[in-house]
Amino acid sequence: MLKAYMILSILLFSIGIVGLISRRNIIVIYMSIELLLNAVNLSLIAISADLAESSAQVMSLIIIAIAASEAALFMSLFVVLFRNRASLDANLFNILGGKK
Amino acid sequence: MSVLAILLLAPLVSALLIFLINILFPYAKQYLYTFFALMGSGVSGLLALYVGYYSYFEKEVFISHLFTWLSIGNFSIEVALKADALGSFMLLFVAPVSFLIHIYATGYMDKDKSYGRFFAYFNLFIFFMFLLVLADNPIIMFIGWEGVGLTSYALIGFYFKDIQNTYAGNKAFIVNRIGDFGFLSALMLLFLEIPSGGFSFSNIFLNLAQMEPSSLTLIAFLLFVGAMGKSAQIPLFVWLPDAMAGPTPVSALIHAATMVTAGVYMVARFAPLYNMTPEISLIISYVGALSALLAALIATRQYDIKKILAYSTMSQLGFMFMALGAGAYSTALFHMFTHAFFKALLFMAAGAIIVAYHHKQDIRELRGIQLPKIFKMMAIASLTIVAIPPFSAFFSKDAIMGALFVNGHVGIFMMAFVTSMLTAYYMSRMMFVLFFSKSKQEAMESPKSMLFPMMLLAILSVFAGFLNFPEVFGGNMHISHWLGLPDRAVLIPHAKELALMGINTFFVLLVIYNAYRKYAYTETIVTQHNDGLVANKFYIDALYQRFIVAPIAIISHFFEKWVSQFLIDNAINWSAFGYFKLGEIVAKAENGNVRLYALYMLFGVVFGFVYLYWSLRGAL
Amino acid sequence: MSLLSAIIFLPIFAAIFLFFVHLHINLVKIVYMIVTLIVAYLAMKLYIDFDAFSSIQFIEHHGWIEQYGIHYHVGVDGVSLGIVMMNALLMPLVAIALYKQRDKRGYWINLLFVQGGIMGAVLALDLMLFYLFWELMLLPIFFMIGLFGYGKNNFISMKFNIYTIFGSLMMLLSILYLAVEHKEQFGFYSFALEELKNITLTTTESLLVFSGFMIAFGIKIPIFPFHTWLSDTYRSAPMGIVIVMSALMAKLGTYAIWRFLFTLLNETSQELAPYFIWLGLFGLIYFGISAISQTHLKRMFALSSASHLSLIVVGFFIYNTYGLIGSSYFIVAHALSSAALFLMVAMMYERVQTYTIDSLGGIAKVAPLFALFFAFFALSIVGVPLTAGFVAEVLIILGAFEYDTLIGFFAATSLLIPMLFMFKTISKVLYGETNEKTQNFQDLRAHELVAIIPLALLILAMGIFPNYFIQKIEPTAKAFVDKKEAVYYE
Repeated sequence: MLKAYMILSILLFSIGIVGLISRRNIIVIYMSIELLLNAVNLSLIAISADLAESSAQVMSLIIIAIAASEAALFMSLFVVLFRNRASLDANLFNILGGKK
Repeated sequence: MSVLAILLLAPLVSALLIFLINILFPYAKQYLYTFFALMGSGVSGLLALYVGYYSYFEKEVFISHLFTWLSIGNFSIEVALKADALGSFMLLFVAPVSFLIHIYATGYMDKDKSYGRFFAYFNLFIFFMFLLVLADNPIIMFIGWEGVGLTSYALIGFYFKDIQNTYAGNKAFIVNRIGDFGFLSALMLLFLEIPSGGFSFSNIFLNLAQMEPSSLTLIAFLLFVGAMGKSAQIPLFVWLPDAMAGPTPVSALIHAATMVTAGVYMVARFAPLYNMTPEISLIISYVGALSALLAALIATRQYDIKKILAYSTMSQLGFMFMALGAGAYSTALFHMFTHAFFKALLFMAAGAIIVAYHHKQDIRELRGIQLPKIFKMMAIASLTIVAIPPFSAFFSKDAIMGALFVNGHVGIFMMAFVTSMLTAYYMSRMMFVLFFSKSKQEAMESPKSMLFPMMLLAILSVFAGFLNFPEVFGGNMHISHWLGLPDRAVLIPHAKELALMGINTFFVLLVIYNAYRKYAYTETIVTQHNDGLVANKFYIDALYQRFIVAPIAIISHFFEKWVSQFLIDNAINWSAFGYFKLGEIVAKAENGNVRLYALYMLFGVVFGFVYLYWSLRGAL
Repeated sequence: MSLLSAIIFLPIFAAIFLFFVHLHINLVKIVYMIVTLIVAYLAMKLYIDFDAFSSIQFIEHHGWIEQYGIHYHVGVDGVSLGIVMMNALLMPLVAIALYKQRDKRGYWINLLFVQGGIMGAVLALDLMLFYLFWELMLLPIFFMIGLFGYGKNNFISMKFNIYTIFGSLMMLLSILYLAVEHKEQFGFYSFALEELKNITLTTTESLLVFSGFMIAFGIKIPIFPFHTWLSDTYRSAPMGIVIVMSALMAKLGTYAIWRFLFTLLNETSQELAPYFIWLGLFGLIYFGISAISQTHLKRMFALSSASHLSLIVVGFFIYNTYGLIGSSYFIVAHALSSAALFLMVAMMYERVQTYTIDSLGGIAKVAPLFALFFAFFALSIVGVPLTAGFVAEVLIILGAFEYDTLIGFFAATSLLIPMLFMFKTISKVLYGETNEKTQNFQDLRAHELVAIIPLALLILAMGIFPNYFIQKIEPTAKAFVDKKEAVYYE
């Protein structure tokens, strides 16, 4: 049974990675990151159930809680970013690369 | 304070006083300078006579220890003055001649803007000259040696508005320093050879026997290199003619009577050393002979009155070196003694002419000058230099010829003989062109301050020879006995000596007669063509320029532009620039695109997993 | 606070004080004057109290970072005394000569910093402390060239600093290596000079450590292939710093060779000595000849300094009493002459606004005093008799002849080469006809004379009565050479 969960988790993770790299919209990127998080969560819970060990499930609950607060933070970030460039295209926010 | 210390310091004190007055009171009266200048040189002149008197009659050796210059470990260099026979003999003509030329200079430099500065340097010069003569220690002697070179540099470039004058000064000092390089190296080698007991002359000569012959030869040669520079011998003579850019009293004192003879004095001082190195003595003889011949040849085609005299000085110095090389030290010194008088006189007379005719120096322009007093002086001096009996140089030069004849090197003797004929030729050429001409030029006679010292020197030129009256005429060589130098020269048989004198005088008179036919009351000097090897001074200046001066400039440029800047600095700058470029390339990957960073992360993670799998493969 | 610490930290604290408390520029100059004069007074006291016949003295030793064996450990001996004296003497004179030209607080604050840094580096006996001060004296120079320099000063300032910090880094590696090696051999870390010299190293190790130190010192001096920062830096640096660099900092490099390399790596130094002697002789001739074709006064004097410093290096590596005393004496003599000469060049620049040799001329006619002193200092660099340089050169040449005759001859060329460019420069600057630039050249003013005359008198005194000065150095040098020979012949 564990194997199926793990495969699902890996699939979700892969989708997340692909989304993270290939999409330009920051909101979609954020969603991909959430997908990664959830893939990890899923594997944590599955392994915890398989090992009959509850501490991992506690941890995944904490992760979900943190992800919620993270979402709030991200939303405010989106607003700020959009206010600056009137767009949410990730390629526009590359000022870390130094002067162009 | 001992006699020698006062003698040494008097000119220094007067130089410093003049100097301070010159700085603090720029508009000080001229007589103030005159007073101090004559005080300084006069005191030392009188004291020199005193020292000479006691040294000659009482055989007294004056010694004065001033202070310790350096003391390292158990070895010390003392600033000590010592006037032995040789030193007193040098003083005996250096100091009075200096004093006389000082008097002359007060007339010559009258109303010059830099009167004070001139006498400050002039007195400083005699201080260094006394230091050179009196030092009981070669290192201190070297200080005097360099000091006279320095003041000579300052005085050659005295009229610095014309930059060529200062270049002549530079040339003099640089060429002299090449000699000093040899001198100092020799002193260092000598210093290291002395085991203990101080670096005084007496101690050096005590230890000579224990030194290795090869190092002695090297030392002797290097010392002679020093003498070459100072006394203008081949190949380091090029500065002397140019040094005539200075005021004429400077030429008379420094470049005729005293400083240029320092080389001769030094070789005589080291006579015990040269007696042990016959091969170097031979070199000295040949260099002297060649220099004498070359200078005399060049002098026959010069037109500048001072340059003629300069080459003649070089030629006479060559005679002295020939004698030194032959081991006739006291003869050489005796010639130096008479030379100081007649050459100073010649220069002073030339200076008087130059002043009277408004700084014309070319004998073609000075034809037929009318200065009866100056003519008498110059005639006496000229007859002396060409060695007509009974003028002083007759005795000194014939003693040299005798020594060379006995010494047995035919080449040297013949060169000396030809040189003395040439001397007669160029001196009479100059005299006949100047004074025996159809055209007439009137001028003012010189002031008394210039004439008086010349008269004294004229008397000395005539009679100084009797001080060392040769035995063949019933004399007893007072000076040679007094000096007591380790002469190697064997005495010449009296009959041969008389014959030599006769032949020599006969030929000299013949040459003078020929010169009279050629130059007196004719236009030969103007119509004569003047090109070719001799007139261009054998192209030696041009050769030095082409093969020494120019290459140094090129090498300097090469070092700076190509080695330092192109090679090394570029290598360093490019390596820094390389880092810069490398940074730019690496920075391409860091372009700020977040998704690209995520991709790098992915690669990293994948690589990590592959590695993990690879390493855990066996365990699974 | 005892004497040496006062000498080191008084300028540094004064600089910090001036940096944080904004005083009026005139007050800054007054504080600078007072501080440097106090330091000069303290240094005089040090010179008088200095006992020539004991070795390192006035030692102060406090714990600092005990667990790594780093101590505050300072002391003075005959050789370092000379640099301390020069540093204390030159700083007030620089201010007297230049106070009208510079009205920026930073100029004077940085000079105070440099003074403290140099004092610390000269007196330090702990390698970590030495490294600290060595770097400390660099920073003000970086700022001064950048802030007050001429021409491409930012580029040159960066280049100079990267160059020297590269050297310092090599030295730091060597120092750390030695400390770690000490821990391995004796069980505890130490940076003290006296303790580090006891460790034994293999040939490769000592070679590496030696070259680490040597790169740092060689860049500072500079020795032949490390010299390309020199002429540009001198050219664009403000005069206060040029004087510090040529009169003090470069000398510090040669001093450090003696103090650290000869103490720590005696055998390696002796084995490598011939190479460095030849390198030094090559530098002597190379820099001297390079200087001949220079047209910029500061560049020319930069190369002339480098040429003489190469001779000092030769004197140290010759390893005998004459060479050592000669080099120590030359450090002081050349510091005096070159500082004075650079001061004169600064005064000249203030009047004619140019450093180009060819555009000058005829100064002797309009400004005889200036010409007199300029010629005097130039001649003292050449080493004419009765100046301090002559004594030093004679001693070094003597030492070179004792070492080897051929090397002696090469060392004796120092009589010739500096003359070639110096006399040309004297002629072109001072003599000839005046031109429109120099015809209104003002002669030296009173405050400039006050700055220069002490230097001239000291140069003369050291040239005429060298014995009084050499007595302070001689026992140190002799004891050192005796000890070295004892080690060498064992």
